[in-house]
Amino acid sequence: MSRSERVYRALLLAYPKEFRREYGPQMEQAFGDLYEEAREPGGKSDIVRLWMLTIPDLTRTAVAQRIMPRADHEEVTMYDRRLAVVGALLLLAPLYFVTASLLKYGLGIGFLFDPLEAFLSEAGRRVVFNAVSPIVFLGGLSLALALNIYAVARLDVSREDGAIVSTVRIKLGSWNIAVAAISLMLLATLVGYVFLENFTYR
Amino acid sequence: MLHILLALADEERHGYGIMREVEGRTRGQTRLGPGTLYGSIKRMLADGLIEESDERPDPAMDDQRRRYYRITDFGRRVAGAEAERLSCLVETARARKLLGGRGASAPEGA
Repeated sequence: MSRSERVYRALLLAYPKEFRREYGPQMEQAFGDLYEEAREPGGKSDIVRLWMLTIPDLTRTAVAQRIMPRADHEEVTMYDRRLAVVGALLLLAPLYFVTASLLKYGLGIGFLFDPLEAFLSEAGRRVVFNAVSPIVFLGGLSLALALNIYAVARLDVSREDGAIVSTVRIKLGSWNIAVAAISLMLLATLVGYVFLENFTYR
Repeated sequence: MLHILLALADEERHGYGIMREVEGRTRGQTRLGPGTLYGSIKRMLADGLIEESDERPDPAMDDQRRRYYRITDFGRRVAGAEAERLSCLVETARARKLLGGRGASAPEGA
């Protein structure tokens, strides 16, 4: 291997690791071919010309490869984090209600439930709460669950050669998984409670 | 990108083959460096314009590191549409006598 080829191989470190792994050997091979071609007819002047092509090419494309994929990746990550934040906000109210109820009726600890009970002691407030809370709790939890399942497992549907192709991309974002799991547990608790309260034989 | 699609329009080629074809066809005016070539190849593979070929059509220059690429049907349609668009531009330039000498006799606005 010539000195130029060794230098080029070292300069490939300027590219991101994934790009280098995928295309590094081919780029080395292509540079080697260009080098062989430059070496034969014109001697050193053609090798200088090869480097004059290679250095701006390498600088420009290494920067592009480092900036562009990161921008895409960061955009998706930011979007997923926003979904986790929205999900977390949606499950705050049901989390409070379920925790307060379990502490009160399971362990007899009322510091969370008692203020709510005092607030709902007025008949008008209780009517509004009974009407709104199922929508807010179940709707909010369902939405939080759906948004964060979407962040973890995206379903893309495309059309290829006349056939519909669906692709599921899994991304194990810890915040999204946590919000989805908490939403699911709260939903199961609330739905279980509603079922037991309304459909069990007394 | 169009240069690469045109280079692959008639046969499968590896990276260096694409470079040589582009340089030869443009009489040395366009020289692709390895970074530009493989950056474009990465994007074109993702967009479905080209695909990797399992065949080794150039055994004389064979090497395990070499990968061959071919144009897809979609890539062919994109190249055709782009060539059509450029052709319309050339026609307009020719009609407005911007292409020195060639087709200067074409009626204005044609």
